[in-house]
Amino acid sequence: MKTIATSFLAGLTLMSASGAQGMRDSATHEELAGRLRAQQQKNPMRVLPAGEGEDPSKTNRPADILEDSDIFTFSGESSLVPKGAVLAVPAAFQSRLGASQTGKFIPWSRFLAENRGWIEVVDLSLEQIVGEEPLPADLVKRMETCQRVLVAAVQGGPITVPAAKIDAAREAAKEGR
Amino acid sequence: MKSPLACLLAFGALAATSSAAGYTNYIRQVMLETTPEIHWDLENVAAKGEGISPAALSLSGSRYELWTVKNADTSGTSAVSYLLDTAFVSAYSPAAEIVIHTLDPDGGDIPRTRVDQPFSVDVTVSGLLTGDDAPAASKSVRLLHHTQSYGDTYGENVDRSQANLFDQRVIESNGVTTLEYEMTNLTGADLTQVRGEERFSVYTHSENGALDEQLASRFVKVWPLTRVQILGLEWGETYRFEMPQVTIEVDDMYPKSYTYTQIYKGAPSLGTVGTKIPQAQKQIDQSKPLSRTWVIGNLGSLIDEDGQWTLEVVTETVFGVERLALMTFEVDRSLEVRSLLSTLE
Repeated sequence: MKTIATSFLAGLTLMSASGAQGMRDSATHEELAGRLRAQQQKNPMRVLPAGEGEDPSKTNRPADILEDSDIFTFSGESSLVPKGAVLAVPAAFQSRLGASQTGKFIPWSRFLAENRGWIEVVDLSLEQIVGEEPLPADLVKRMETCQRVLVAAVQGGPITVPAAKIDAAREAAKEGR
Repeated sequence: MKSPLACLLAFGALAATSSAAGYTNYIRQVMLETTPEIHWDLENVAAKGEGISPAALSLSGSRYELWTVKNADTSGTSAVSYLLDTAFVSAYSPAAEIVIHTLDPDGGDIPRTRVDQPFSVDVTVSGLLTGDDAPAASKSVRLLHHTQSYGDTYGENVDRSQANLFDQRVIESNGVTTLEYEMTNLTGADLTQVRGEERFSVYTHSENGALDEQLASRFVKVWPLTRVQILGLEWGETYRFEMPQVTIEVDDMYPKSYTYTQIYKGAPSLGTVGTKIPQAQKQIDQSKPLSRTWVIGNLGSLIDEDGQWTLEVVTETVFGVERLALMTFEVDRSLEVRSLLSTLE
């Protein structure tokens, strides 16, 4: 297909050869207007059935990642994790989470490596997040007693933990399961 | 989700490639089968490349979002995020790929062209199902064509949610659809000056009120023609003794171009090779157009005899050699002596 495309493009290169060195005068608005009218009459997409419906690029536009994340800022640097990935925040570190976006954004893995003194990752599995497998039995206790910010991750990537899963873990902890 | 599927995710064009340049990239997988949605960030997003998605693919699918976050500036404004690309993948969704071809091979990750130049679009769709048992949503996809003007800017902070839906169609069979355009579809009062982008996207064709998800999207930047004004000379004017200072205003030189001013003896003749004026030329190779003003204070030093002379501004690009503006004038430096001869007696 690339061969066809390049042939088409090569064939349409303007080669009026009006000058000794192939020079031509730059196109005018009137010339372009005529060409555009002709192009509109033979719209290349007309070979396909007409579509209808709302513009999905507007109706299904993803939420802004900055608004849909918890943002960490410390020592001039910022990073973000999905909302719902932060499981616990000790009072001493509350000020490092929030709306501040004035730090220099860096990848999460680098931010974590530089701030392991106050951030701890809870490694989970996909089955525990979206499947039937329960969250770790000691997770609730870790959330209540942690000295560092707890962030849930699967295979190193921060991930939302559904509230229902947390609730189930709390219930299980109460029942001593 | 008993058997995870690996998904190769090709990253699209990036606004910038490293945090050192003020931008940081993030890929987020949005699992659409859960309520609320589960978001999962892919670790270690490289500036460009492919990564294995660690998540399994469900029937409802996942949307992968490629974001770049621009750091807050020193004036204290907040960081800004830009959605660069999205892709939807599910166990049963069709796949799509879009490739845009232009005559300019140097646009990098984002193809570029000029308003008067052709481009083509290859839309490849696979995975569409046929048969009465196949869900309606698996039998076709939507093809959307958006246009968006940059106004007076070069599109640095374009908000693509404001793009105009130029056309939408339905693709009902697997294979490649090639769209060939002889010039841009952007419009304006002066077509030589329009600038912006044209975006082609493929979306799922969902049913029962489900939202359509983007399968592929690519856009091409469209740059205007170079505009020139020659000031200080009048067409056909005769200049004696001293040539005036000439100012040449050049707007929107094409990102990769060589633009120069030349002068030659005689009437205008397209294609003539003249003498280039050293202080009135510029070669560029960058990502966006450039404007410049040249001042020629010593044009007379290039004129070595009386008669008609022509001054032209020419540009050389991948599209060819084009004369942008010209001026012709007369030079007459001969001294006429009128005297009355008489003798002294």
